[in-house]
Amino acid sequence: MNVLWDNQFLPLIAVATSLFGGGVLFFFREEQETARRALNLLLAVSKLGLIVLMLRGAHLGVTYEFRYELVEGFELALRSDPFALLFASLSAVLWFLTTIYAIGYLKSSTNRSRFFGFFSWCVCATTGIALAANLLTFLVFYEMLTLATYPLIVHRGTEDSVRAGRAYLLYTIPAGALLLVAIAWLQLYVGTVEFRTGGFIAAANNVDDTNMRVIFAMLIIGFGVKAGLVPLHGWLPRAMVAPAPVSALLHAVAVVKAGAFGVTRTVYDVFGITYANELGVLIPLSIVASVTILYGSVRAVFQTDIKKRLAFSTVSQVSYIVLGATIFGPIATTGGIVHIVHQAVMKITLFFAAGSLAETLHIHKISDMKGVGRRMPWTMTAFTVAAAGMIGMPPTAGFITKWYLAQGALSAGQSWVLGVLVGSAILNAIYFLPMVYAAWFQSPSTPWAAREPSSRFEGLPSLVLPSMVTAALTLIFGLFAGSALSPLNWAEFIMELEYR
Amino acid sequence: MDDVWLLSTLITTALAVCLWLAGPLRKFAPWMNILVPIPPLIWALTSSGGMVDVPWLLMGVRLGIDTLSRVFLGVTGALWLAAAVYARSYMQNDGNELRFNLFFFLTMVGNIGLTVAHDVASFLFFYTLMSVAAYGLIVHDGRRKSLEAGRVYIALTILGEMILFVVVTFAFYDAQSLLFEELQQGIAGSPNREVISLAILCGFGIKLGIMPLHFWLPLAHPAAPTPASAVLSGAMIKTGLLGILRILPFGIVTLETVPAVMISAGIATAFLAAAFGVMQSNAKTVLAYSSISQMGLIAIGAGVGLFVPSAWKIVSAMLMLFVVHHAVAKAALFLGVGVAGATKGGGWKRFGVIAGLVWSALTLSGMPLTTGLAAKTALKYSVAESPDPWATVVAVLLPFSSLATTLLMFRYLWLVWPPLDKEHHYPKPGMVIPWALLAGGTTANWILCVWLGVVKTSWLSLNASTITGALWPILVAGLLFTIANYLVGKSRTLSFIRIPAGDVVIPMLATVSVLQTALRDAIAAVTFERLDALAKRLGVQSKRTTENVISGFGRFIEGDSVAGPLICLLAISIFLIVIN
Repeated sequence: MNVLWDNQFLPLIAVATSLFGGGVLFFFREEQETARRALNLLLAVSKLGLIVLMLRGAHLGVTYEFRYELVEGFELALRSDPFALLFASLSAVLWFLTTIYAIGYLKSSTNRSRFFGFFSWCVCATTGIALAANLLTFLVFYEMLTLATYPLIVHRGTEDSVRAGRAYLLYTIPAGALLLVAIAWLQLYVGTVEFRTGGFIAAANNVDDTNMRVIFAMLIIGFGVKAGLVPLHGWLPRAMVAPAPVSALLHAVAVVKAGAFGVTRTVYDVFGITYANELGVLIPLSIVASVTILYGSVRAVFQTDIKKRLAFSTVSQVSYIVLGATIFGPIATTGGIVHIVHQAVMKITLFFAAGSLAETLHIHKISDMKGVGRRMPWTMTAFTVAAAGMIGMPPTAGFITKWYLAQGALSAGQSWVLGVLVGSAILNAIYFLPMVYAAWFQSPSTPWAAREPSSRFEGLPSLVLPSMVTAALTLIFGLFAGSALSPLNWAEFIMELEYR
Repeated sequence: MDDVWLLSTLITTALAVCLWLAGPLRKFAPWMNILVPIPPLIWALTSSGGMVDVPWLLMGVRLGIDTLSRVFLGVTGALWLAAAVYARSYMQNDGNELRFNLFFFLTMVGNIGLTVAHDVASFLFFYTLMSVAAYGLIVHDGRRKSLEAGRVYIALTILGEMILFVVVTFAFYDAQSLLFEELQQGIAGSPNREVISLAILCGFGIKLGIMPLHFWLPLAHPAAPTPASAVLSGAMIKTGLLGILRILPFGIVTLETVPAVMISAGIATAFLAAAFGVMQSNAKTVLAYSSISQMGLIAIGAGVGLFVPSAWKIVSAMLMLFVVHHAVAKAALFLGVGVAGATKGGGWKRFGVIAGLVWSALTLSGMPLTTGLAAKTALKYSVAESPDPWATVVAVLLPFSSLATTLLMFRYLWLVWPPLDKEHHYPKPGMVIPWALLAGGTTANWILCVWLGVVKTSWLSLNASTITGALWPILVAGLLFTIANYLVGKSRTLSFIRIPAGDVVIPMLATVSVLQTALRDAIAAVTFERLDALAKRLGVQSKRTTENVISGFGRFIEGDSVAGPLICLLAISIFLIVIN
């Protein structure tokens, strides 16, 4: 038995590296640029490596599991099940790209050691959320995520960002408390909070339906705050004052996705989709998700600030995941799960591009995007691809999601969902196409600032390249959706476990 | 051989993509655009049929050549090749030719790709690529009119895509397959086949320009630079037909409503478009209307195929012939606008240009010795297969449609006729050669068919009665046109009658804007007025717009500090009420 390859502590190591790495980062002096950069990249690469090891295990049929009993009945447990690995590998890959991006973005910022320390802890929390094997562990890391992202949101220290940070806490702290109550209730009532494919509540005997409905509502509201379900989304558009790499991570994998992941876990591995369907709680939730999808898009149309428009677009897009989770049937499930990955690569591309425009040319308003396609063609190509994905044009990843959700809705006999999907796609076109048009077809009102003489590139390579990589992924995930290595195939594998 | 040409198609396309990614090589883009359509064209001509399945692409892709693909790919490849050669000369010194070449390339890849797609996912991919990239061609010159045309175009394109998405979702649900063949069977067996077919007709009808979905077309096609107009109106317009032929259950079941709708819409389109067209003062707009009118005839023919599955063999052969004929003739006519515009001064060169213009115009009017007459005859025979009263009605109307077409062609010639100037100036050979090849192409096609026996049918043969049938509409139209021109020249009132390009689009946009204002005012009167009064009493100035109201609502529920916890409680109670 090879200790390194087949080690039950792998999940723990994956979480611990960024925890300790983050701790070390705090002690760097501000001017120790190279050392900090090296450690950051080392952390990101080692995390990728650990995830690859776990994936290899999953391929061979090994599940790594780590348990530690905190108190009687409450265990801290991490496990590398397929769904966990989907989210963990997503966050590892995107964290790696965002680290590169952040190093370039914060070149001239202050308090970088503090920033990267919390940044690292934030990823530690996300990995923990992904690998958590029971609700309590999930909650521990979920709360850690709240606390680790707060300093990132207020990083700039301006009045706006402090206010955004306060709103963030005001929404998330009560939500966390609500989750704690719900989880304690479940532990007392059902006797376990261990995730299980098909649902641990479904497997339990003698549960009272009414109580379960209340617990479902509490869990959904607790997770829905981070997932930005209307009307719990108020903190999200304000949090966009954070630096671009933070927004990118926040909107793609960390906070918002953690909420959506929580909702999905609740439906599948806590309640079990069949039992949740019997309870009749899925339809109300899919209505909430549909309202969120349309509301977010309508609000996005009226924004004039690029990042704010993207933030409202996130509110809308993340609810596709919730929608997929709440439509009963294997196809919609696949669509919802795969959108965890698809939304991440598309949205992170848009935020990378927006941040790159802001940092290179100080473009913050949509009206300033005129003609920027000629000055920064690669950035805007990436942006355009991601926008096409958001609208759901083939062959992007967004099209695959839309197709599976639509098919799932039809098989579940809920054809009204098609109306939501089409309405959202049209609204997406209404707010993304004018940006694309302005960038490529209009002329700038004032000439652009000159390029940095040292660079032949359109901006800092560390700002431009990550967005190109994720844009390429947007295309690849859609174009090669039928291949064995695609997220779609993976999502189908997870779905089969849930419906077995 | 099939694999070789498929592979070289992919390789040239990949090479072209690499060229766009590598900056300094982009100056070769016009040459690359000429190179790209050549391998698929050869593939179409030499193919022995057969499909390639690629299960790991999209949701399972199937590419290959069947009869339909061969005809569409052949004519599409030829048209793009001609347009690319033409564009290299035409677009020199444009200033923005790099951007033009990029969108030209993307539209071309989409248009060529969709002809060989045999599954819905890849078809929709190529279709979307083509439709969206064509926007770049339409707004290329950046004039206000083109931008307006582009806006109407993109709105309708998105609408069409959405209709197709929804209807394909339903169709897939019945067929459980994305392959066209099985999808067709699925629709044929579905209880909702009429509704699905009608929706597909709407989705693709936008591209095909069937009334009342045609109004974007006379704005958009002429707005593009001339070589782009030629492929938009020659090749791209027919992708709508290809989509319909691929998905609707042709030759499998008899539909009732859909063919009736198709034939009546086709008749209306054929005549109304011609009537609107003769009143245009821009040659390219006249041609765009002529395209719409011809697509009306195609819709009539396709409708017959849905009425009588047993006649599908005849009807499909007729449609193929019609597609090739119209594509080549229409591309020649469009390229002719550029050639005529560059011709000044007399001499044999001017005579040659005029001969070419007249010949391509006569082709479309159904001249003997061209595919025009063959297509017309074929349509006549096909229509005879349809059930009464359609057969009788259409048979009576058809000769008048060639009359209408011919009137349009006279109008076109009137508008493009090159002036006899002192200054001598002639178009470049790069423009003349592809144009001349296309203008002669319809005759060449006819000769190929008749002498080489590529297609064996009585439609192509000439005899006294077909020749008279072909010639009288041309003569009558000439007479009518002369009289009308004379009258319009004399009478001031008549000369004021003009229908703007896009006909219904003007009243439509006006209605939309009126409705918008009315709706806004009505909502304001009901809801905002009281709020306004309240605000005034509090000394706050407010502005009543939908945008402000939505933002205000947003500010309220995304409101400050206490909003979060309060809303949590609220949501819990709502949820409890809902589920108990």
